[in-house]
Amino acid sequence: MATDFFDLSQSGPLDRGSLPADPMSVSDSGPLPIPPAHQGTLLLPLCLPSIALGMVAVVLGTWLFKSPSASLFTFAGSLSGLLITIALFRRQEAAAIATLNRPDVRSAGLDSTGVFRSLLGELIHRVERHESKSRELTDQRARLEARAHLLKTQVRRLIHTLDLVEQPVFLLDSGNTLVYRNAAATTLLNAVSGNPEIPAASAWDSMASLKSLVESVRNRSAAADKRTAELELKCAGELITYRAEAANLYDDDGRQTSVSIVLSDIREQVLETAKQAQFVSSVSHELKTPLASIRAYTELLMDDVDDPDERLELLQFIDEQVDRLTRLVNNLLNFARVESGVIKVQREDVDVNRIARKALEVVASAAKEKQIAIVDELSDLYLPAHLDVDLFGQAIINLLSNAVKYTPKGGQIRLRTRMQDTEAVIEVQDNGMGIPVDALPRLFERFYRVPQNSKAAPGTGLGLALVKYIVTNIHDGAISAASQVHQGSVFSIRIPLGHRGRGSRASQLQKSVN
Amino acid sequence: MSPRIIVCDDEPHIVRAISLKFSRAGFDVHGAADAEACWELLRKHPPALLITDYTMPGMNGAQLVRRIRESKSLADLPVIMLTARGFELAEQSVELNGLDLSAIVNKPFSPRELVVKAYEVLGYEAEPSTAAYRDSYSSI
Repeated sequence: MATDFFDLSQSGPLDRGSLPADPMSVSDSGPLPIPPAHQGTLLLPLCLPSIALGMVAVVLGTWLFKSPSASLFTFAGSLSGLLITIALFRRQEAAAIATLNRPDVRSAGLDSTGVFRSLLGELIHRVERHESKSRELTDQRARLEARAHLLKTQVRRLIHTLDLVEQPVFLLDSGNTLVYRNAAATTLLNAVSGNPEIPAASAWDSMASLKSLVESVRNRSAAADKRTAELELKCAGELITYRAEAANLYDDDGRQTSVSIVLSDIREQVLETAKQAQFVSSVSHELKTPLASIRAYTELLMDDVDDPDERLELLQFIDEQVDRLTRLVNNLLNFARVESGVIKVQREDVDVNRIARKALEVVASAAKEKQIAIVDELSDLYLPAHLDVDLFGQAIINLLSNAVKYTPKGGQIRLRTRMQDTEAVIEVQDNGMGIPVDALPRLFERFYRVPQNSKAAPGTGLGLALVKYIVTNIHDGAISAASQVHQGSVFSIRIPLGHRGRGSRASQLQKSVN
Repeated sequence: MSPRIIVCDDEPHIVRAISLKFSRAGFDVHGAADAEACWELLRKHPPALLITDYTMPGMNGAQLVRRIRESKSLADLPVIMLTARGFELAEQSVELNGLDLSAIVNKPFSPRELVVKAYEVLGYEAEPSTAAYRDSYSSI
């Protein structure tokens, strides 16, 4: 059924421009100077009048002279005239045939054919015209066959291409019968019917939402003959959101004939929209919460609180909230700068250990304040990687400062680097408060903060999200976390080993040995 | 006897600010840091009014109010809901539908005006100095 629509034996539309408008209008440019047709055809005018005259002479003679002998005499005269005519004709005919059999001397022969010149010219003219027409038709037929073959090949390719398209494509004829569907559409129909026994076409009949879309697009004016609708289809038990685009198709005369429908699975877009909405909602919440405290305390200071100690306390609260807001705005801007590409990523060939060592220096003072020991377990090997030093350094600093924040006084943090297969691994391990197992999957979400730990230290819920973005989106790496409550956490970053500049990985390793 | 109100918010600063303002306005204020603690307080000593935040870890404000409406003793309790997610009020309204909230107050808010709102909800005469409303209020 699917291929019937493209069967060229059913008189497919051909390109008329390449064919003669009227197949009979063949040009008259033959090799001979042919006289016009009305001057020829002398055979009948010569023979028939001779016979007729003879007959008339007999009748007339018999009637006039009342003498059969006189009329017989007249008849004999007429008959000999006729015989002479026939003999002349035969001679000329033989000459003409001889001439015709010698195409190389056609022109010369024609001149010598005497009274049959016109007749022969006409004959030759007609024969040649028919020959020419016949050749023309044969050529035309060959051209059409070649064209039909080409079209068939193109249609086959189109069908094949449409079958490779992931989006289901349907085509309905003017009677709303499903005349074509691509492979994805067949798969969809099978999934909708949920039963391989049921023919896919009958599943189409059950899709009321698509049918009503077809109806609505048919009723559209030519100016707006496309319609888009979002619809949900239950495929193999799962509800999938599709965007359906229906469009009217027209024939050469502008008559609306078929309707095409293309479906797109927009589950991911729907999810992305929901995520964006969630993000905006979170930003709103994170920004407005400290603002709410600031506003409330400012008003209390103006209206209600007179005691100097209490005023100072409220001012300190306000100060804290301003700090919180500043931190949040900075983090948000940082994230936005990195994500939008305002901060240009400048990757270079470096040793991972060099970046790790710098990060250690940055958090050293904060760790010292909390009497937290930082254990340097950096690899002795040169770990070549192609990194943005600042951004990747920021990622390690974020992990280290998180470790400092959520590890109690006197705790320990280990920073480890190593080579594993084709990757460099950077691990930040602490023996702090740990993360509950149900919080681990959400750890890298923007604004997510572990509820049990959020009171332990100020934070915006953006630090780990930024680390993940830097590692996965910018450096093609991966990040994971493992933890046990009250035992501590390990965050592992993995990035591809190797420099991008001159020299292979082996030579880089050699360089590290030297 | 001063009317009892309960304030529920995971932000201690908000609870403190509201408590301070409402105490000065003559209310007996009790604070709760999350919905579960609030529910315990509500059951022990039913208040005249509940002021609760919407976004809280664990049970959120909408879930708390639903539980209140489904209970026998607290079903008619007036509730004012605070929210910092102002942009999605329409989206939230699906969740808030049927919760019979007395008011939704967007953060940041003025404690002064929150007191006025509480007076109004409880049917008290408003103090003349606190009669002005601001656009941070949206009655439903």
